[in-house]
Amino acid sequence: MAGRVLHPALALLDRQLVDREGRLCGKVDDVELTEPDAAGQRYVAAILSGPGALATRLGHPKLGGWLRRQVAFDFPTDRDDPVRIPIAHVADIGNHVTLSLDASEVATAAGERWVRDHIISHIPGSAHDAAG
Amino acid sequence: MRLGELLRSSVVDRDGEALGGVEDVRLVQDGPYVEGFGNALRLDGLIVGGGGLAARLGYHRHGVRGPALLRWVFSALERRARYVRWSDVERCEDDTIVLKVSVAQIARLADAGLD
Repeated sequence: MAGRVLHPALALLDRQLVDREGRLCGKVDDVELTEPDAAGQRYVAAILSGPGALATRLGHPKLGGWLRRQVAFDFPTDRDDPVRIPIAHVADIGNHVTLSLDASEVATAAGERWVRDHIISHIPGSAHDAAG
Repeated sequence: MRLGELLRSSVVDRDGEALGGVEDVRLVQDGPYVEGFGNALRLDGLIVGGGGLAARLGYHRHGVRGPALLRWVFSALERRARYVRWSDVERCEDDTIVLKVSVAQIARLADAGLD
């Protein structure tokens, strides 16, 4: 049976990422392909999202690489490279891309985490949860 | 290799004749099974040259049924584009993709028998 066909420049790049709880967590900035297998075939290995990935896609690999390393250093997560989302963590590709991860594990949340930890947390009363 | 690199690349045939830039690629979900995702997305080929505007607007496909003016314009653009199967790629070097076949052996997108 023929597999599903996808044209990623049209139907994947710049699509919204949504985490497993339905929260928005960035955009698809680029797509990583595997090295060729024994038959010369390449497959989609990962979605790249977050600081650095877009700069690299737009032709600024040095800036992109520096941003990516900086984020991984300053905002460590459980994963080695938060910018790289392995395809195994992609639950669905439709008009948005659904991940099986939590938004906090994605690099695009790094800026929000920095603001939370370094600014918001110092504001008196910020320890309260947001009330509905 | 990244998709962004492919989309910045130009394609030349084995004799060095330019076919144009890569406008999009075609992925087919028929690769090895990946736990949590399903069958992997395989890089089947490259949509090259001509019709760049049509590709970015999503009209670089078969089956644009109307209005008649749009169908005529985008069909004309699509006729200029070619489909390069990944198996016809010899190597990728910097921003250039070199094919192992001549341009005459590369089908027009409209004639490539794609769905």
